[in-house]
Amino acid sequence: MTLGPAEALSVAAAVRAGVRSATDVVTDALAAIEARDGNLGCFVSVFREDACRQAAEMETTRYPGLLAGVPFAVKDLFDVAGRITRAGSVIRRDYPPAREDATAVGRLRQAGAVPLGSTNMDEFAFGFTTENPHYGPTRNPWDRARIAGGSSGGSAAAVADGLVPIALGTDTNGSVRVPAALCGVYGFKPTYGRISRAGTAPLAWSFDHVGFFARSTRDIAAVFDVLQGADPRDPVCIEQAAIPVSASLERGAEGLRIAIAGGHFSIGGRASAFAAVDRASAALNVRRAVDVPEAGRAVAASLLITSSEAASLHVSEIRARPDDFDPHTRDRWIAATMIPSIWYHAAQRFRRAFREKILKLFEDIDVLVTPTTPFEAPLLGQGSIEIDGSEVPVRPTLARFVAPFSFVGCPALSAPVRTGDAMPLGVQIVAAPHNDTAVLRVAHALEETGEIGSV
Amino acid sequence: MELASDRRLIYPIWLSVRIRIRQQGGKELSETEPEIEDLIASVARALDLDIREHQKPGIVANFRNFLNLYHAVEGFEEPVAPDPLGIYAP
Repeated sequence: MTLGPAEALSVAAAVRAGVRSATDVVTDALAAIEARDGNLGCFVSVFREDACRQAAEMETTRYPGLLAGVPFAVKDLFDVAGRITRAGSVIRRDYPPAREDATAVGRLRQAGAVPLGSTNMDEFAFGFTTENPHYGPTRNPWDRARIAGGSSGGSAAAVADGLVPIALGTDTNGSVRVPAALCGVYGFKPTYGRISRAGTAPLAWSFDHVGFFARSTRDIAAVFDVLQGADPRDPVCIEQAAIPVSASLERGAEGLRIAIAGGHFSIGGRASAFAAVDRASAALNVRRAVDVPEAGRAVAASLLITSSEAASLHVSEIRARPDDFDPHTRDRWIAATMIPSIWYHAAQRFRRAFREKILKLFEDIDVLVTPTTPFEAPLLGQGSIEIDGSEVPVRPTLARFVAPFSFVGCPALSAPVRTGDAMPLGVQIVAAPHNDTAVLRVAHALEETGEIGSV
Repeated sequence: MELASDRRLIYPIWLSVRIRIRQQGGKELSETEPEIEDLIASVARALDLDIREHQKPGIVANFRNFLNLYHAVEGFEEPVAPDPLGIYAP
């Protein structure tokens, strides 16, 4: 695999120093997309003229910003001014263009980054494979016969293939962390409410998080510092001053209480997934294991609530244009419109109870390490996979280790584990809500050991 | 914990489906489980959703999956009273 642009901060430093022009950076990235994306299916739109115009304007800007000239990709559910936000659907193809950027897109643009295009995703972000029935699949850069993961698969694969150094995604039950793991890049979902969702098409409002992909922990921290902070356009984006994390990375894992998740997180996956965690724990010299109580119940509750919320958002479109949906999504959401309210509320009541257990757990530890996915990227179209002698469905099983933490809003990052010639895997690093800094410090410490890093 | 009052809110069709499922000890129900189909047809009419014949097996299977998810959730220990302000935010 050929790598294109370097890490975002290196690109920006070169642009600010005048070593490279923003126009050259953007032109090279657009050429890479044209040359390589036909085989991958990462992008559904490329903003060629707008990107070149923004890059050219930067040549005369006195303060080009932390991410000066850095190309980035945008999951096709973020508004980009003047573009139609399709959310992986054909229904939204008829919507008017967005009048303004989503807050996340606007903040990256303000920092000097240049949006190059919108990326493929599962229809309405409901899925884990990015096998979109309307726009085709996104293929895994490491083996084009395999999925990139989803629902932010186009963004993850674009970063993995080096088409862009950073990309935006969203994570409701793991839609940033799963494709990050399967494509071998970093994928971070900060605490619920720390990054504004204004200008994004929702899937499940009480779960949806904005997240992003990059190829180094420094880039992850820099992008987080640019994106975080209160936003009156998003009612759940908390009124809290931003807490910059970049300066904290060098503190590493020193003083942090780290544990490996046992129980639910030590079964139900392939040996390679647990071996990745063993390597991370050995590198961090962590021997403590803790149980995360009721994690299996949390997965069930999160899938129940997500389906119910998504169905309620889309029921009018299902009535009006049923044949324009992916048939699997449509029929699942029709069934979800019929979920009795007591099921939904039971799941929400459990959510509150589970949150208390998680907060209690994080009184004794600062950071938890788990596998991100139970297995490497399956083949395109593969419906089931063998785990411990049993065939299990691919799609819901991909949520097994990630959904419990988005369920209660914890910051969680998938870090790529080097696996030689094998398909990539990820380890998930989790902390209590609002302790995003601890997640990134541990990820950075692991990166420094050489055990993890974009592969 | 399942509240006793919750049971009284379940309307008869759903109750019969649940009893039938429990009687079968969790065994897979047939693709055309009539009570589930009846329930789906009734709710679809109320919601003005048009369901065609070929969609029925998929919708029934999905509904059954949601039922299984609910069974996986129910029975948890609830240490706090439902919090109207905090319950919906993670």
